[in-house]
Amino acid sequence: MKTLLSGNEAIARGAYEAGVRFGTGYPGTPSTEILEAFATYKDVIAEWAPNEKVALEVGFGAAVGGRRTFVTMKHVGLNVAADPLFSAAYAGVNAGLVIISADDPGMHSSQNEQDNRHFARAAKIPLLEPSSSQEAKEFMKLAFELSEHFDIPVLVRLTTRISHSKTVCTLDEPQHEDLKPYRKNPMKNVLLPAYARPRHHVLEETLKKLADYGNKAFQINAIDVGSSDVGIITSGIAYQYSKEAIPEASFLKLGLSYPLPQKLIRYFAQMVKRLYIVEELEPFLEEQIRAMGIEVHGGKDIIPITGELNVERVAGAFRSREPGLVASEGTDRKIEVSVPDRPPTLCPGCGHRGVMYVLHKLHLTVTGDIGCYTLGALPPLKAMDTCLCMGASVSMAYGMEVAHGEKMARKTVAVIGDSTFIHSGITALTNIVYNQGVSTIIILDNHTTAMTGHQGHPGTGKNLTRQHAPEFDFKKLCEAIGVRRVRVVDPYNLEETETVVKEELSADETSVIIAAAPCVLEKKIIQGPPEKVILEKCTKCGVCFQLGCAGVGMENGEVVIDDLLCTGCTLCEQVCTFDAVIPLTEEGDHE
Amino acid sequence: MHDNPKNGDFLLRILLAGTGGQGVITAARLLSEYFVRKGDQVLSAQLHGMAQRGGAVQSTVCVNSGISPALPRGGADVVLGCEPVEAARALPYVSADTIVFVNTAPIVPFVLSQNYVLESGPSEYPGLHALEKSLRAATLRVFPLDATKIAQDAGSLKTLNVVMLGCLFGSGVVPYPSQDFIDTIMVLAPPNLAETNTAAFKMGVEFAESLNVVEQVS
Repeated sequence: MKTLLSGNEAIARGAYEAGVRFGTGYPGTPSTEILEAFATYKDVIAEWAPNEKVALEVGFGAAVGGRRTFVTMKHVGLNVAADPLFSAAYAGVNAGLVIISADDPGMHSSQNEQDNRHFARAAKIPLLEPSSSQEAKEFMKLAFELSEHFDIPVLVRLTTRISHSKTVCTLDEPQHEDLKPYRKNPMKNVLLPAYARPRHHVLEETLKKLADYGNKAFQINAIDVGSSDVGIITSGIAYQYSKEAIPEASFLKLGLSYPLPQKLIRYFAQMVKRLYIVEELEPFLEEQIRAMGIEVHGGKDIIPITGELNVERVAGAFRSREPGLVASEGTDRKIEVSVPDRPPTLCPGCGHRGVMYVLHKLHLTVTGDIGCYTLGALPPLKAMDTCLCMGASVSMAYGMEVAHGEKMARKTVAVIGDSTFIHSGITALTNIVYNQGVSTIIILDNHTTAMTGHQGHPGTGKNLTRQHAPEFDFKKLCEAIGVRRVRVVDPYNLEETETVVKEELSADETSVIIAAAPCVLEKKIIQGPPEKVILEKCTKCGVCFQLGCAGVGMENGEVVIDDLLCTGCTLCEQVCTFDAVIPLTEEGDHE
Repeated sequence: MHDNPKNGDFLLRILLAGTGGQGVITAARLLSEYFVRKGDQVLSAQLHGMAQRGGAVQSTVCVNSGISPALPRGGADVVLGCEPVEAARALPYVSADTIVFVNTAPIVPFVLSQNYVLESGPSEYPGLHALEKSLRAATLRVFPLDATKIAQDAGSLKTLNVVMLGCLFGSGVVPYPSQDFIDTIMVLAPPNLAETNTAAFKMGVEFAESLNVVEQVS
């Protein structure tokens, strides 16, 4: 049977066909849809974990216990999960364990564009790089076989283009996998120094065997014979771009790109006169191949190291070196378009806006975090000074306090979303209490993981399949770790929010403000009747524009509110000092 | 490869462009599923990081063409622009042979309407005339329509994406009868919108048929 699958859907299907019935992970673009697609299959367990480290540890436990398991995350998620990853390689698995890392070259929705192939090499585990949906599905099945045969976790690396592109896939029947028995084996699973040392030797031997396997796995590390002059070694999506840009070259396409199949690479290098290496982002293959003493005619000296590749960038790189081989289509045109940007923005009615407006108004230093509210950094709100990684807002606010003392703490707040707080903010808050800081932390609780598409988390009372789950109590948690000042505010009440922020900034101890407002986009919330501008009262002072709401604009020289976009949150009504904004229903005889 | 040997012998690369909420991604999904059902090879790509929060959206549907998911410059056969500026943003993918359907109803980026100076790009919404002119400089096959009004007439603003799909079928570049696509809408689109969607699609088809796009082209 043939069907159209995105790379993410194909990963889920591949896992299902491999007999996998358990997947866990943490949402993050472009990986999120994998577990959501997996959850649609029958008799499977698909779970969100509070963060990637927990997800991988759960996955490792399940695999050691005897159940085939896969764990999904975006590239930066693997940084969080790196601790269990490196040691799991020493212990090995029992049933297969496959980790999916969805990288984001071009940073379509990420804070960096790190190349997670380095993780496979650093952690010493095999790396599979599919180049299409069909391969993503097949490689998942292969990944589980490799994981069990070589007793090692396997990393499958996707990129945004593969995750989010749909191609036609041939489906196979799912196989049945029995649970493997669990046997106690402390020499393997307890990584004491005395036990871990021999495990390192085992791991090095395993990598040699995997390299041998890679040298002979011609279906996975495939040579495509073309020109005897030019040969290209490539992997993942870069293969598709190279094949389309330089169709007549010879190709060595590496599906199993770590450990490197050195014999196969030497063989291929001898086949061609000039060897090129085409990789998106880092010179991962190139540096290893050059270190083998093989002459490389072109690599990162012609292919950009930054940003996402495409056919045109690859063709452009080859045009000066191999003009005769570059496919000409569509590559010589350069049209510069000058059209206005359309930056994303907080939704009309968003509960984050009130808090961001108050922080901006009070001229505070704001350490920010990862989520929709990061959009509060953009004009006109400009209410954010930093955004680094999950949870860093809380730790950094305290760092600012240490740097400049209490005076700095009086004008600094951290803002962090509910899901992000559970992911990585709790330990950071514990640190402030423990070290007796006076920082002020605002938890923007919109009761969902909004930016990635409204996934449940432990604070929402819903699990991955939207079934009931116990609901985490932020206030009680903060109190339990020693925060005595915990306030809950309604961020749609600007006066209240401002008062509470000022009070907590001046408090002599750690304080937490919970700004509670459910996501308007998820619940399609309408708070009240749409607002309307009374033209006779409006002075066009522009204060309402400071809210950065897409529902408020200028039309023919007058301030207008779009009643289709307006959710009636009343923020513009509250900031207007001329009473020129009122709810549509109260308009009465003004018309 | 193909279930039906008649199919697969044409090549069609469609770029859909719009803003968050205009149904660009849904339209690409409908179109992809339709061609898959016809037995064609389909490759569809989309970027939707923050589209729901007002950003620009582009989706591509490539039928029987190429292997890499990103369109090359000048590589679109048809551009369906749901918004004038978004159609112009797709210009790098337009060649002299590209057919461009462009909705003339603008959605002004709110930062412009509030007179904030942007870090890059012009700080005013370009005039419709200028936008059309820049499109026409790239290809003569530019067909403007007030698709927003057509969608409203059909019964719902939400059918704007289907009006644009109607234009694609009415232009004559798809080698299958447009009625077939209505069947796809019936199966895949929300049942409560089936009737409105069908009406909107037909109105799009009628508009494009009235232009004799293919005759103008050849």
